[in-house]
Amino acid sequence: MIHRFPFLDAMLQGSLQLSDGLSLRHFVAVLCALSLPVAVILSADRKLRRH
Amino acid sequence: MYVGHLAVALSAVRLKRDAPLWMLLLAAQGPDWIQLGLEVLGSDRAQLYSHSMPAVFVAALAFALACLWQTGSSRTAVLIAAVYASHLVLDLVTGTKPLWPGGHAIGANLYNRPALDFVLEASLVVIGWLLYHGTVRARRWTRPAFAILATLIACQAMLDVGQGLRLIRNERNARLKAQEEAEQAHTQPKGM
Repeated sequence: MIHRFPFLDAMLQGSLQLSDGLSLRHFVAVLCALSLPVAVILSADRKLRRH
Repeated sequence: MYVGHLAVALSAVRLKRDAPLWMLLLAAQGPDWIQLGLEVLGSDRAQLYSHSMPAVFVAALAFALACLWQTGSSRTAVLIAAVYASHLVLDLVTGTKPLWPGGHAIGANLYNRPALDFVLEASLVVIGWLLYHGTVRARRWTRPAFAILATLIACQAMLDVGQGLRLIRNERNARLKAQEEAEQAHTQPKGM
């Protein structure tokens, strides 16, 4: 059934292109790679400064 | 470079303890965020507009002015600009970047040696973490402090393991292709 929705199908397969040479999968991977460590540092810093 | 940039931001806290950490972290990763944004917009020169020397100079200046407006401290603004500029220098160690429009991409490209890259970036993280930790009063092995160190090293390990596996796969594919071509040449009748 999912194949009736090309957008969703492409998104789940990771082949959805946001632009030339940038797939949704790549975009999400880079976004997470950049923001995850920053989120952990800021959260830990807040706790450490509170001590 | 990946988490090494964040290590620079953590180290910078030692130089100016009241500098906003979120701003230092954003500045340290600045060119990567700009590159990602440009890639989403479909720019085919995203790396040039984010990581070349003129681009880094302009963006570092913009970051410094924004910081000056936000904090009112010129010392913090200079520190933010320096952290932003450090991104390009560090990237030249681990990757290759075009420094100038029309110029060739240059750099030591340590990403092709993931184990060495891991040792370098993990060392930077430990140094940055120790310097940062000197600015907070908490004991060293509290959970939040350990979370910073563990997360950064784990993120770097994931990146380098992924890169290592990609290199192994590329090498194997190249070997198989060469083998296939050699077999084809061998089975082709002579004189055709």
